[in-house]
Amino acid sequence: MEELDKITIHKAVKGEKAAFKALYDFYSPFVWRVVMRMTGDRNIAAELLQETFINVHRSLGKFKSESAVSTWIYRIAYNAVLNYANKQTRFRSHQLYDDNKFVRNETGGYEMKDLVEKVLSQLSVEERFLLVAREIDGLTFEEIESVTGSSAGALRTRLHRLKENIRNRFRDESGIREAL
Amino acid sequence: MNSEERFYEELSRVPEMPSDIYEKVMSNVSRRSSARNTLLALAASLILAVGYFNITKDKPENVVIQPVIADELQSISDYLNGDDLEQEFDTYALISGF
Repeated sequence: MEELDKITIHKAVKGEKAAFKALYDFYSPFVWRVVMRMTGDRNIAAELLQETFINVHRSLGKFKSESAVSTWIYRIAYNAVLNYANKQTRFRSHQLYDDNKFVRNETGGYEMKDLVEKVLSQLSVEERFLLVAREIDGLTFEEIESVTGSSAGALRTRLHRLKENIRNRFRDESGIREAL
Repeated sequence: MNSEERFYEELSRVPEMPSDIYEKVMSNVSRRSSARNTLLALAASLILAVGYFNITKDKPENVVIQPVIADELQSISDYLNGDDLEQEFDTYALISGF
């Protein structure tokens, strides 16, 4: 994915406030999207976004420039969500996205917005990250590996299965529509 | 656009990011750093206080200065106060034959 210019990053590492603001402005939308999709809750996502950038600020001095800033920030965000998830068992049992709130429309299917949430509700936090990081933000499997610690090969297989499930889901959905 | 493409497009859409997060981050950072500075100042004060207490407590009242060192100290003191000048004049006078 795109990176902020090295001079600004260097200045942020050195503790320049304006550079840190530039870093926040550049990376926060990506972090917001991934955290929002991993949690499914705006308030929790806002809390975790805040926590992520507090940790980024605190650890910037230790940042090693051989790794990409984006990957490093993703790792902090990913760990923040996992830590939160470990404290909240409802995350683990995939009940954060309320399955009962999705109502089928008159054609028997779900609105796309609801369908996305319904699909996400059936995935683990790690799988949600994999889906968004790879399919939306365009991270490579190697980058995702450095964030999650799972091997690139395992991630590739996992994503393939995930996408297959999503495809099947659409087949089921269109089957419902045709039956009505 | 097929359903799958629409799915991924929808996946990328999330509610707008709250606008006050940056301010919250910075206020947390400055709160933490002022708390850290206060703690450091307290620790430094404590170290100074303990150090001062130890110095005054272990004041070497009963320490005996060795005669050689006492002589040296006296010489330095005389030199600094100019008390040794008279003696030096005498020495120079003796050397130069006055």
